[in-house]
Amino acid sequence: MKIEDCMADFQIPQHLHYMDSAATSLIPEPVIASMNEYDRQYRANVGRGMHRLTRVATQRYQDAHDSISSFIGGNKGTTVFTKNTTEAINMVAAGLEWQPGDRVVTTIAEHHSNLLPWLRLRQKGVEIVIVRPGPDGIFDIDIFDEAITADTRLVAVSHVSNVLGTVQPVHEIAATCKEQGAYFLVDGAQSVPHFPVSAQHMGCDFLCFSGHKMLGPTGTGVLWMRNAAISPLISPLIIGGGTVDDVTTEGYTLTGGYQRFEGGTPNISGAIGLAQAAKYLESLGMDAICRHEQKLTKRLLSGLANIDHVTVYGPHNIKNRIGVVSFIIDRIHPHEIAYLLDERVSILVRSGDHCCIPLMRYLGFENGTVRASLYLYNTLEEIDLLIETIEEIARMV
Amino acid sequence: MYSTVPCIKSDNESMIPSSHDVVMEVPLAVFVNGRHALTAMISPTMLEEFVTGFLYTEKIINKLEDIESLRIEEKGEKRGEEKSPGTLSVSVLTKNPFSIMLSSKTVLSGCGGDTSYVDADRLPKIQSDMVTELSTIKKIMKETLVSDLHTRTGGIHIVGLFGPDGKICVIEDIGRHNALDKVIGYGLKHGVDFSRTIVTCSGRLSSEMVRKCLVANIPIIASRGATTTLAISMGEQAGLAIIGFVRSQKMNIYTGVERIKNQEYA
Repeated sequence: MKIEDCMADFQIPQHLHYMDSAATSLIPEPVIASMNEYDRQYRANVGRGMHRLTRVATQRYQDAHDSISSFIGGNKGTTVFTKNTTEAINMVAAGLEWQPGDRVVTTIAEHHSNLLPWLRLRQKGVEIVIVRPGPDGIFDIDIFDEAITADTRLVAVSHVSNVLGTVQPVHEIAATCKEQGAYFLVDGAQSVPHFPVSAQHMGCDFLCFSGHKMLGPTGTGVLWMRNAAISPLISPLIIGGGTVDDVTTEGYTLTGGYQRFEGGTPNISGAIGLAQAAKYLESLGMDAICRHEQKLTKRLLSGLANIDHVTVYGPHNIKNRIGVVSFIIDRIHPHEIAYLLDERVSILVRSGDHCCIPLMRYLGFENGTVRASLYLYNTLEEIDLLIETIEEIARMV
Repeated sequence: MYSTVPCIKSDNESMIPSSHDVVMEVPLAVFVNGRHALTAMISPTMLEEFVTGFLYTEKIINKLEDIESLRIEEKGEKRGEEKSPGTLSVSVLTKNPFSIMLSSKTVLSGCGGDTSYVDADRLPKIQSDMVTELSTIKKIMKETLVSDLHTRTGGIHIVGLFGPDGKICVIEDIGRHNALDKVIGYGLKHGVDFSRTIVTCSGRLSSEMVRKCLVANIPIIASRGATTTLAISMGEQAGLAIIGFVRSQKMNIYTGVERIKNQEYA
């Protein structure tokens, strides 16, 4: 399927110009249909019982794990379904056994979800080292080479900044982690939906991302773990039904695989919808999606660059960045800009600190930024409308 | 495929403790769209090919792409139990699972896979102009019957699939029907044009063997063994060449003689 042909699968863009996909993406009809099919035709619990519905539901649920593993090039690893990226990261932070003196390296550009779980480890005596990027939001790999020492237990980095759209050098960081024997956790919330990502090839140990940012339903996310040797080191966040091989009154034996981490009845229709979303993206081609977004981003960056009183943050070319574009207009609050875009031309963008308060402070954005985040259903016409409207608003200065 | 087991060997009046290689046989439960479809007694190899071929010859699927998902599970790992090879199951989801899932009857049943609901009177006619030579039949039968497992155990059936370029696959199983389903499944997974193929077999050509060939549109089947009256009748109706007792320089052509030519007397 070509990207231009997928527009019919989305209803919201027929009325509104949705540019807030970094917060959550829209959802196409085939994904909705796959979830409806579960609820209407074979709704049953999974991994429990022998009847026909539970067999079909279980198989679709197992297949959903396989589909997502394949989508991220991680067939050799363990793919666990979570609520979202935040839960996935918390599962690692809370699941590893920490010792006082352990060291975690992360960055100031992280979303709160990839920062707070690590900051909390200070209560256990873990040293948290926070590295800082250059003014354009790009990290020099030397900074990581210095920060990642032999006593570093884990390094946690976002593949792509949710504020600046910058793509970080994860392959190089992975190599350093390997040299120093540190685990490497990648927050892929903003990368997996937008360009081809191979977890195995990247060299990370943990890859966390959200389903709802990649055309899937809300309440879906993924924790991928590199191999069977790593997952037993993570103590499950919750245990109970479905997580055990055996239970006595004296104790229990946890099972292996993803089941170890998915206690209780999971979000079954969500998992089925997420797998359908991955299939949908694959049918379009992740390379094609990336190229489409680059085309939009290039037009947006060049358009905004020529407007007086507008400042764009992050790289000004499409190299090493995605279609997440943060900007401000002098003397107009970002919330005001977002409101005007919505009211005047039905363009929906995000404004504020984007759950990145430390980064905002570091870069000196007192009120945050306006963030337009693009996806496959956006068009050049919409980008031109955004540029034109920003130009009008900037004339108010 | 086999285990060496202890036995007492007797020769004349002697009884001597010894051992012998015995072929493995396991029950394989197959579930289609959540319903139990059959339990086959089978050699535990090429299970994906077997199930694919079985679904195809039972007309549950019309093409390989009709299978949405096929998962093989080996149970007996829980609660510290040792793995037993006797607990295999395969679960299949077809592209549109709900017609089968919601029907009032299980689609298929039977033990050993021999029971079929396909109406023999409504079987397809072979659509192929394939002709082969007597010498080819002799050659491929010889190629089929070379089996280390058969030599060791004396308890295995062999089925081969041959195309214009020679051997496509030769598969062994404790059951002829299983082996033929595996061969057909293998062909489906490898995009083989069955209308240009010959099936060879070590055992009897029953009506069930013939039926599977008709569904797959395989125009010639040959065996070292015998055939049956029903198989011949079905073969005649459908244009399938059935050849039995292919041994050394001899063979019996029961049906479809027009597909067999003798180069030496041409």
